[in-house]
Amino acid sequence: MKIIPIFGKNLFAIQHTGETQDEFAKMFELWQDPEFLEEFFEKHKIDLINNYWGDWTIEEAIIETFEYAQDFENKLLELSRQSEENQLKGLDEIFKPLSDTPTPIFQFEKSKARVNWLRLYAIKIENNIYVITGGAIKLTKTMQERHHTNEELEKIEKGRRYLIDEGIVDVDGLIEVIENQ
Amino acid sequence: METPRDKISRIASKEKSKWLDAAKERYAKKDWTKRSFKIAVRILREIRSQKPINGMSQKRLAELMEVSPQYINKVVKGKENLTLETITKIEQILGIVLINVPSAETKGEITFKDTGFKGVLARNASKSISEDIWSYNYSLYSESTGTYG
Repeated sequence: MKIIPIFGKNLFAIQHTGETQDEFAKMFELWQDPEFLEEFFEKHKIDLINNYWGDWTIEEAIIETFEYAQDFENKLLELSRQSEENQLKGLDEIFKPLSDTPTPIFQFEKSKARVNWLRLYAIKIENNIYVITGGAIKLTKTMQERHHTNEELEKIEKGRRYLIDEGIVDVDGLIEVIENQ
Repeated sequence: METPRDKISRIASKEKSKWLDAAKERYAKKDWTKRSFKIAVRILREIRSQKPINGMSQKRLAELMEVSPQYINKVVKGKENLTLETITKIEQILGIVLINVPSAETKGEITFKDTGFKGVLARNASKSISEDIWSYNYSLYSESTGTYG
């Protein structure tokens, strides 16, 4: 596992051992890959019928995902050209806390960027540094309901443990942040 | 004292993500890839529905078209800038319509009171009716519901 800079000074992503690209690059490629999306929605077609997001045909769902992904990517591309200050604002607008209750290490939030059913998951360090751990097409209300979203929860946890092991958030680090507030 | 920002910059890889270059390339091609994507989806869905009937597959399609499976894979990834010749071949083999060129003329006419743009409106109406690639209104970046991922 390693940490890859995406753009600016505040956005990073995890790249898993054996993978050719980081999780951020991988998600945007998959969300714009017709072959991947066709297989994905065929596999999850039950979630498109009268479910959390309403009724969709597989073709509609694929095209919708592609268009969301394109718009989302263009927004991030635009953000990458902005000043550092604007990038910080933009990232904070995109990423929202994953749950109402902060994690025990409060400055180290699990966060998500959301565009309809597309999700990017990230760990937040300090106020504005985000480390992307993965992403998903979330078709159900909770992440625990489906294997592929449940796996993302595990990836967030693995990423969090990796960062702690690398000394990004350890006991000293936590104290530093508290003392600096 | 080293901050978390210093620490992460120190341990992060020196190589940048491949995302930025890939995203710029996708942006540069976005107008035609929007169409090639939709064509790819149509082909993939058709292959899937024909498979139990006649054994259609990407490999079989490649054989029938006398092209390599790699080429067909590029087509179904939406990455091939298709020629009309190729599109027609695919249409004939799969028995589907991938491109439907709308007629600029229509028998119907939309009447608009006090407007001099009747002809244009009629043409546009015809265009939108014939359009085989649809679009949606959707709201981007919906608000967080708070509790769920």
